[in-house]
Amino acid sequence: MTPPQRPAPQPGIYDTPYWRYTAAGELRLQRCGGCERFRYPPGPVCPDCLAQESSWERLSGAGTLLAWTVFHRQYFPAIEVPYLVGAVRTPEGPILIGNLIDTSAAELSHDMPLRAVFETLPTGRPADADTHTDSPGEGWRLCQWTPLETRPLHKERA
Amino acid sequence: MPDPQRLAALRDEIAIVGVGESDYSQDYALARRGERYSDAYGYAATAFRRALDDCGLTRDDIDGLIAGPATASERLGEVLGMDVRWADQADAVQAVLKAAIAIHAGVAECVALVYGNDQRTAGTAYGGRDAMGGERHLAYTYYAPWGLTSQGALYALLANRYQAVTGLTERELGQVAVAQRAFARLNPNAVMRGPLHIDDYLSAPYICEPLRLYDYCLVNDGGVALIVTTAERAARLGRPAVLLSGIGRADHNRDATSLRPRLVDFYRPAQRTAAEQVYTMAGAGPSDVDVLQIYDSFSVHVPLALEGFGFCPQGGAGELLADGALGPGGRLPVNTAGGHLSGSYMQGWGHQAECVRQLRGEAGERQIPHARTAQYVSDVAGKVTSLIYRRADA
Repeated sequence: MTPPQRPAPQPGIYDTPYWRYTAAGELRLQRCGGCERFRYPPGPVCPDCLAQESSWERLSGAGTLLAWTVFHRQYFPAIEVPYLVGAVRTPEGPILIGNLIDTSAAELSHDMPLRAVFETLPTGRPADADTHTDSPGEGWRLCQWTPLETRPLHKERA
Repeated sequence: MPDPQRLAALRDEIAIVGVGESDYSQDYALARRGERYSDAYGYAATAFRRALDDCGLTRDDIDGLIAGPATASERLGEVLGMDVRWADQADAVQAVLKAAIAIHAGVAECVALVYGNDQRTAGTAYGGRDAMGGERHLAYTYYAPWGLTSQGALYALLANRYQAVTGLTERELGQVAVAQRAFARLNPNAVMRGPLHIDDYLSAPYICEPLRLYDYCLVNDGGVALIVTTAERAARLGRPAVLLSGIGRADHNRDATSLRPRLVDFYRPAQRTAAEQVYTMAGAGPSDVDVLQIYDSFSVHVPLALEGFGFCPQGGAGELLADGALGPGGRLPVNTAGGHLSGSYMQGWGHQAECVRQLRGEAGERQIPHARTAQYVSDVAGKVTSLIYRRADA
């Protein structure tokens, strides 16, 4: 029996590159070839100018905390409560969602600076082509956020 | 742009003449015991029969059908034995609007709006990877790898930011649940009728902080039906009719998944647009509203709607709530049947039925004296709508 897992990413036609870059420890999003705005979530055209051309460009990994919630109700067996989910405003424009890690609710404040970190998640899921794991059998990675000041162990800088 | 002159021509031309609802309270008790005797179509049929009885029309008079989201109009036509000339699907946001447009265009004269849902006994998921609505609102399921899927969690994020921006306290927000429970206690068909004090609210567990148990809507089975026709036909029925005086509608879908409309704008631009339309068309304003029904899958909808539709200044909802304005005897009665939090979670359909009952003066112990104008406001995930109803003799 494999242990219960987090819901894995389900890379679709537009999201596959995002997860491939995440697996490589890079936070990249589509940037419009027309108006140069960053776009999230990935999609077929730029919602601002409707241009179809885009390139996947790296974000700075900086952000500020727009809002957060503490989950007290368990929706997924693999994710123990309580856990933190934050909405993070990036200087590039998009608002991104991630878990706030290596911190606690008491340490959070609105608009505090955060930085992106990549968390490798343990999983019993066998490696296969769909998971885009960079290291087969070791699970997959998520872009998470942590207060700028902390020095987390076992995490890599974005 | 919407044409004010064409909209003005629709004012008071359409009437709701019949309402029917299932036995929410009794069915909830049965569901809790694990008894399952009906499905979405069964609840819809119960409500439809009652709405027909209520208005005095017969099934043969019905030439249009709008089915709610949990049933298919074709199958509903089969179940109810009705061959209509025009049919459609709609959620509560659109149903009354679509019926009015269809009748005004002349494609139908008497439209039955029928909703049935067995969401509790069928175990409909509003959280988790397969949360309902994910195909329409990507945010409902998109963030599953981070453990964020429930709509409640999205509104919890909103509440977190909104509290920071406006200073709304937990105690003030709690007054939404307290006021609506006080109304539910006056409604024999409400699901939750036990007393709820603010201390009960504050000692209840968080689900997704800052939202607690009582900030979340019920999940129960039931059905609602409305019979809608022309004001002219309504007058011939010789029963109290309720006229549709105003409609307002605006979307806020851009950047929806990145949550900008929720967390930065609080849906205010769409609310302002819809408010301007509905009030202009009805020739009324917030101060004319005797009874207000607000879509409340979560308590935090209520302060947003109060501010977005001009019932108080931005950031002023907390004061209204703290004053007890929303409950029985208050100066701005909201969700007088108990709403989704304590009455019945009929996804906005029950709110229309309650507008009708209040304007007819048939709301029993919870009746708001001399109610002549009622408003419905909804801002579900960026689809903002509002309807203003008034008594035919008002």
